[in-house]
Amino acid sequence: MNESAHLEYLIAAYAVVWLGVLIYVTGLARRSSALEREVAELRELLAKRPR
Amino acid sequence: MRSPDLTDRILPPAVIAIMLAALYLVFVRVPTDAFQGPVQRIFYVHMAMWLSTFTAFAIVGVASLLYLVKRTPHWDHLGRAAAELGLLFCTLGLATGSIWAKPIWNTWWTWDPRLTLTLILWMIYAAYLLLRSLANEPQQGATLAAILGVSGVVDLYLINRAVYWWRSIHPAVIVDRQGGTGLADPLMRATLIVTMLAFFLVFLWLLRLRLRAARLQDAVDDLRAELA
Repeated sequence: MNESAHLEYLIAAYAVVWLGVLIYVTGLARRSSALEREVAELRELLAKRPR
Repeated sequence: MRSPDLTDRILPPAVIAIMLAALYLVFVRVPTDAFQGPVQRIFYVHMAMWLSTFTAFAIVGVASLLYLVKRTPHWDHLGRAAAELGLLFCTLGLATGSIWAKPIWNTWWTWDPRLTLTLILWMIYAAYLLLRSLANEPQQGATLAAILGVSGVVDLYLINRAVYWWRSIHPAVIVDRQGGTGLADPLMRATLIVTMLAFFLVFLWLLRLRLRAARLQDAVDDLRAELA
């Protein structure tokens, strides 16, 4: 078989995997950062509240 | 903010090192398949997706069962996190399989028993996550999803057996239908093991990050309740 035959499929398969993982990681990192900020804000609000 | 523990410090560089080794083996070292040519190299990443998918859904099954018995949020968090990752790797497994099928089977998809059961698996865990987000009562959603999570394990077993029980064009690669190995070359076997390990470590890393996000969500809910 020709060495370059169907090379585009090989590249597409690995690209799809990396793109999928990258999109998930980016979404998860954004979600975690937003939650960390929210925890900090809520703790600050709680600390300011008169007991 | 807590400082990263030992696993958090070790896991990312280990993942990167093993992933680079896997890519080197797949694209530089491994011999080209005599029948399929270079496109056969999709096999390594395709199999790696399924190892993570099966592990993730097995975790969902065990965590769901433990949640139904013990009712502790930890098991629910673990089940949900593993289901999310299982769905990700299942989607990528189906995608890489489809891309590989086109040049080899001359079609993107065929209703082969293993492929059909895998699509059903994808739907089961998509429904699991959908149930969670649509339920009015979070506890009710968690219980219904846990029941689905346990029943999904049956499909995992059927997928594993499909190529032996029914006529299938999907190959049984690791152990073929005659009981031998489908990978004759030792370097091909080594490449498969390293690639599967690399993506399995990615899965473990993402599972830790997803569980941390779940704990942060719990903290937000607790703080909101305290402020209310």
